[in-house]
Amino acid sequence: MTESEEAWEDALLAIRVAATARHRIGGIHVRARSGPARDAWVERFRETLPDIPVLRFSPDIDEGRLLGDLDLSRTLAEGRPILTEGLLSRANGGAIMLAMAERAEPTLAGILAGAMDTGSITPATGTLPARFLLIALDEGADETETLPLALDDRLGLRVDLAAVSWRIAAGEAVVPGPGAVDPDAVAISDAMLAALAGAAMQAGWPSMRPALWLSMVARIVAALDGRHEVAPDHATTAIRLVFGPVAIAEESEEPAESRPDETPPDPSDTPPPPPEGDPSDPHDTEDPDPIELDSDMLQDMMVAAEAARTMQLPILLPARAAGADARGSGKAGAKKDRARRGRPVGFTPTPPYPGARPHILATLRAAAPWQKLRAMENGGKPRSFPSKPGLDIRKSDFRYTRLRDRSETTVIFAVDASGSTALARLGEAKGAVEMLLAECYIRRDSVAVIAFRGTEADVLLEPTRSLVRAKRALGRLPGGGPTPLAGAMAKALEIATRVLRDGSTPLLVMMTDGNGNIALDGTADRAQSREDVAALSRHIAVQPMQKVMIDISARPRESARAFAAGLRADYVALPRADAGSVSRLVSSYMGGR
Amino acid sequence: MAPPFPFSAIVGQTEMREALLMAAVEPTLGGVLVFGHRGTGKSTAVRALAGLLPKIETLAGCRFNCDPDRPDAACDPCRAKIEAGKPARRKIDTPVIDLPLGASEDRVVGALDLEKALVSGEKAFEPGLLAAANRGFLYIDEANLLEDHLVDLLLDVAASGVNVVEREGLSVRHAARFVLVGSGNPEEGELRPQLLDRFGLSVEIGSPDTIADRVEVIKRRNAYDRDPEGFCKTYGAREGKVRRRIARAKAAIGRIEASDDVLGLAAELCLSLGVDGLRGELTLIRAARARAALDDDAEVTREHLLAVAPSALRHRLRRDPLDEAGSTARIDRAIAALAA
Repeated sequence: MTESEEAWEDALLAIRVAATARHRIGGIHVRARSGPARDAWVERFRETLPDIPVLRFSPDIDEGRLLGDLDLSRTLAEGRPILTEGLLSRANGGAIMLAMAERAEPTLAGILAGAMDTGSITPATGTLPARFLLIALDEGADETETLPLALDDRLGLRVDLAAVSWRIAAGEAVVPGPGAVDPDAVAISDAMLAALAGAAMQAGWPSMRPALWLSMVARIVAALDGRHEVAPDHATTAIRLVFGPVAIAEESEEPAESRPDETPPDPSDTPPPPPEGDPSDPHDTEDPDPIELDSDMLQDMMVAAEAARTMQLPILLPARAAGADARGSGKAGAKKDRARRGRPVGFTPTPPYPGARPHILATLRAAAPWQKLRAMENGGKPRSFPSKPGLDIRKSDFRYTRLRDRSETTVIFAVDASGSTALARLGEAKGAVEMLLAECYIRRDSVAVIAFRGTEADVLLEPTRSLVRAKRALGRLPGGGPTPLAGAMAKALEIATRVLRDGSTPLLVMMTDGNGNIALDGTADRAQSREDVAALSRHIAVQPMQKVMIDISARPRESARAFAAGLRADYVALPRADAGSVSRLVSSYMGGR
Repeated sequence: MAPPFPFSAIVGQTEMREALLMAAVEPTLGGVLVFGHRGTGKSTAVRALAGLLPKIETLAGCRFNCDPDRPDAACDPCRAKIEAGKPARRKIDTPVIDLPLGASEDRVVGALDLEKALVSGEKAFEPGLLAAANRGFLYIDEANLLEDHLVDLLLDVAASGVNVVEREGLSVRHAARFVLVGSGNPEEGELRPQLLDRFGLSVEIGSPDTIADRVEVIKRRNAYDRDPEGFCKTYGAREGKVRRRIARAKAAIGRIEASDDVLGLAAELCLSLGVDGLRGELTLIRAARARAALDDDAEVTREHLLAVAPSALRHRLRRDPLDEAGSTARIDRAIAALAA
């Protein structure tokens, strides 16, 4: 079976597991670009669960529609408040498809997460049940663009359709319905639970949820398999479904080999065999033999988990731990509430800037409840709703949209940690980053750090506002070796593009002497390095961001100045760069915009 | 709805559980801030606490949970009823109110009652979540993601105990004394330091780090998911024990004294850590007293004080970006230095 086919089989199995567990599994995190493979998957999902309501919306939905809101026209027509039913409670017993889930704001994530935790929502009228399966369609372009951690953690299944070709997805494969399987009847041994808990722990997530998902998915997979006890291959399948299909390569053969020979490998090698009564299945007896979990199997599972960890670390962890939460989260910060552009964040009775136009609907809504009172004030009987046209709207009713400009800055430090820079400089740069972060985490500004030395540049710190993470990442800053300047510029460009895409403003601070000697491909080729640097300089120069080059060489040279000019960066020579002056300099750039 | 996961069935997390109990016993403590990664049982613990709190007495028909024995803090209709004598009393569960992240300001502080305004043309106040939480708990999951203006408002009300509403032609004041419990993940953005130290206690939690504990978590959770009622029944006796412990401590806390020796130790500890203001010392003493009450001790000892010091002071230390060690380690060092 090709990788593509395996990924598709897993994706279909995830549907069956979700169809069995319903809201108890949280939902499915689907990583795929919009395309035929994803369409086919969604189609299969709906075929498997034809009878449930499936609501689809995108992350820009407002809270009123999610939780229920005043229905203005009907309220005015009937003269009593009519509330619309929120989408979350309409989805009760069904599923929600969140399109473009990677754009979800923390507030939306928080609302969804709260509803998933309690199985209910509490709008003004009282608690309503809201048990749903959340299908997050994540179209993130790279690993750092993904859905908020609050949601990711609550979704028990993970499907990645990147490897699935449309030819396979378009195949005739029909997903058998969940049938009458009862995962609660499936036993799971303590040793197996321990192995699953260990696997979850080794995968590096601090959360307890993956371990819970693993045990649930393993039992469901076993139930779908028609067994009454979780066997090692069910557990490895569960690891694949919960942590994503990355670990497939290692595992696809292992369980078959390491299994005791009483269970012959399934000849067709199809992960989801028919749920009940497979005639070729020796376990299809009243009382199946208890499955012995020997140390070898445990070892295999640990190896699989370890493989999942090592293979996923570079791929999944930054996405879960760094990019996702660094982006658009965190609350501290002076917002520009008087912004003329940006994202609407609510209504205000005072005009945010002179000449602002009132928001009609919000104004009407503010005026609506007063109509009867005002009619009475105006002498005589309350006029009957809504026979007499015309609303009594007063100045105090006017509502204006409050916009929030995503005006945060992300400072990208590219720090030369090579041998040509004294090691002390590195300490200063590190100090400057920490000082900046400590100073300005109130200001909604983020900091990213790239260090370059040896053959390549490392992103030590993805854009973050967290002091905790900064400290941890900076602790690992090594020094010495040649100077891969081009590599650092490439990384800086990559982060800057991402920052721009998220709507905030990057500020690039290069701390170097401007002399690279390692080319982009990691070879020690001075000429190639110069070419790479020149090419990247042209790219960076046209980016709509501020650039500062801090020359930290002991004797500032003309070449450094030329490098800064190529970048269209401001050139500052700070031969005795100390943490304080660097921090002050960068602060002046951030404040001066 | 299924009953919440039992408090006593939570594996480990002793510091968080004790902090919540202390806040329940001593409402003036200023609440608890729980910092930790996702999926570590923060919300579970707070929601479980609801079932353990003693019932409170209030007046029938009151939407502000007024205390019949404190007419000075009661709302107008209640005060009138109390003054008229023999008001109808009723017992209700101590409210534990979940503040949803998307809650509007209207919902939180209260607003014009639309129904009454539209139907009878009456200008009436519709109490918000702050009124509902009076004399109980208000829980904010992901406090660090809440809109800043709401956080400010909540902390202000929590500190003053009064909710003042001046909007839409309404002018209402009502009592809103509640224990604020916040949770959040420090890696997703931090709370401003000004807000941090308004919380009485702060705890940092992680998920269990041994396989055996983790297996236990999974087993209990599975058992609960399968049969919530039955699972809660098996923990009934243990829940009762915690419930009685809270009730006993609440009754005893007024009688518990702290000796000058203990007060001196608190001052010394705060001084050596450079904690700003007196809030730290006050909280430290109050927490130690709550701890003594929970431990069934008649007076506060040095051990009580030192046991609560990390929770009471951790979030009050000045941030030193160049100090690699965490706040907890600094407190431990200071305690060790004092002991030496």
